Amino acid sequence: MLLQVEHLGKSFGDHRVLDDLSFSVAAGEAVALLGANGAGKTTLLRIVTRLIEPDSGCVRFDGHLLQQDDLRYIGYLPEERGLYRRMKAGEQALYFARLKGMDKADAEQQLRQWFARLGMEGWWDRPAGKLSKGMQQKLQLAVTVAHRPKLLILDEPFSGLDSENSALLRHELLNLKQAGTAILLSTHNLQAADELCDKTVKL
Amino acid sequence: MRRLLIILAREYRMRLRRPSFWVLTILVPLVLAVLYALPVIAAQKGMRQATVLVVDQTGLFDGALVSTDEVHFHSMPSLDYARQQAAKDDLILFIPARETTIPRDAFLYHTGSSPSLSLQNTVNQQLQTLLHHAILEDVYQVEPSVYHSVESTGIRLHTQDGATGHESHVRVKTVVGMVLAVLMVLALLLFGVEVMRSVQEERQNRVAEVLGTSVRPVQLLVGKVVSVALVAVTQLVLWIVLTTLCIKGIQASAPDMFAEARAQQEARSLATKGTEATVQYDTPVQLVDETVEGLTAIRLPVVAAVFLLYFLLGYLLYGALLAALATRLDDDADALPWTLLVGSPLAVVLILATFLVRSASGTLATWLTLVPFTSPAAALLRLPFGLPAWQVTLSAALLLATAALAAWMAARSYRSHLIR
Repeated sequence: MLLQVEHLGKSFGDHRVLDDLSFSVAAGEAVALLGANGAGKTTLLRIVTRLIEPDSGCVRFDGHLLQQDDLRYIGYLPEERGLYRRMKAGEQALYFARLKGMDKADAEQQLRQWFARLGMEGWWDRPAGKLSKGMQQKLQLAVTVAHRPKLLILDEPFSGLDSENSALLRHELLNLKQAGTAILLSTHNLQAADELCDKTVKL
Repeated sequence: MRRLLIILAREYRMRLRRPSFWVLTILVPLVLAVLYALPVIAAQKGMRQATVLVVDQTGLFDGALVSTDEVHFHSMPSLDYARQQAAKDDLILFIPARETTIPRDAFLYHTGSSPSLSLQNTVNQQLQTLLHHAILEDVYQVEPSVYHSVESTGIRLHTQDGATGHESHVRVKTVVGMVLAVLMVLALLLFGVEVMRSVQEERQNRVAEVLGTSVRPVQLLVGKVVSVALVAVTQLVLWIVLTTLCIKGIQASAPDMFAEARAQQEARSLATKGTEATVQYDTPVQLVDETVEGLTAIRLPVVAAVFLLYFLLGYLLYGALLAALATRLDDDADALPWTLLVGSPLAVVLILATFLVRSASGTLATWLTLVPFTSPAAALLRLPFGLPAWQVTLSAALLLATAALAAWMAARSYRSHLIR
């Protein structure tokens, strides 16, 4: 198993958000996290990306306890998109890719390919702040996948996208899954979850 | 390390791309150059000799007032006649008769704009001197040659180091200490707030959440702190180079004007010497000479090195504190009062500055030099007066330890509060 979540528990004050949660995701497998707002989906994803610590339980990656160094094999698309508004799209994507350990030439090649696949060829030199919300979302997706992660963690990736771009994103995610990438997907879009995912975890 | 360098390079590049960086970089040297040139240009182009019509009912001053570049005196028989004769911008100096021989008041009438303070001082100084001369001659029967001889002598108190015999230059050191302390406080707060704003920005635009899955929080923090320090050094170097170029350019464009200004200043100082009421050693030329002499005695390379040391350590401390603060603030409106609170120890030193320089080796000054939150400003304030080596060493060590602790706390806070 690529990712194993074991007996995870997390509380914020008196509010128990996660309680003894366990599941696993294999390479090439997609798992949907379903639940109402406030059910703990984002909290779970932040624990898996080491942004917050669990109160109990643990997360294993590739058979060992998840370490900081494992994060370079993980691509994370947060629910609220994070981009530098004044930085150019291509320059910004390169920056994030290089922080994931890619060298500049490889990162640029990968990113230009992803820009083309996502229909963003002319956006390389445009500041992120001048892109529409949908465009920013596609840019963020390119940033998330450019370093060829083993595990993709996507928090509401379809929100803000029109139907055409939603379909494009589903198509690209299916391609990645078929190529062996594990996907952990938090979404309210049941159609996309059905189409993409092999199993669901209800919170 | 590689990731740290990538963060550092981006942070540095982005700051240098900001228009505000270049506006400030260009504006400051221009302002300094203008401040340098303005008095000379004003003196050359703007000085107009004022005409003062003198109506002296006492008979003590008429004919004895000496015209200068600044003022031309013209005797008048009566106030009414002077009023008739006065042109638009002319002034009338009226000294009314009194029953006693010593006049107490004189009046300078103007119809247009009021005369400058400098002109008022010149007139007042001449009246004062002539009055003293009259009293010495009439009441005490002192010969003019005697009081002129007395006026040309004087005693100057030399404050010197007992061991080396070198002048202490207390006045120059006080000014230099104050300037250094103010510069230090401004630099620490300016660049500390820059780190704080950068952290706030990444939390607000949610980039922190993306970055948090790639790099350790401490790498992010160090990248920011170091890049801002590099930007500070870059700006400082550019300011020095551009200011020097601007001043050299101004001097080269009008070499005669600056040479003439210096010559006039010296001539004025010599011309006024004979009419001074008391022996006066603070003429502009002497002040300039003392300043140059004092600055030389201060050993500027040492001052620059100590400034750099305290700036780097102080910046690390305040940058880390403000970065930690930024990770805790969810509302921008809270930033200002908290920033003021963090910077208040530095403000305390500035408030106490005049007292501290008067007692530069006193207990309070020593303690403020050792306390890490006040030491960058207090040490610089005292530096021109001479800081014992043990105090610099101990104070820098304490500052370094506190800065390291603050950086560690900031990194922890950064890790746990990176996400809003």
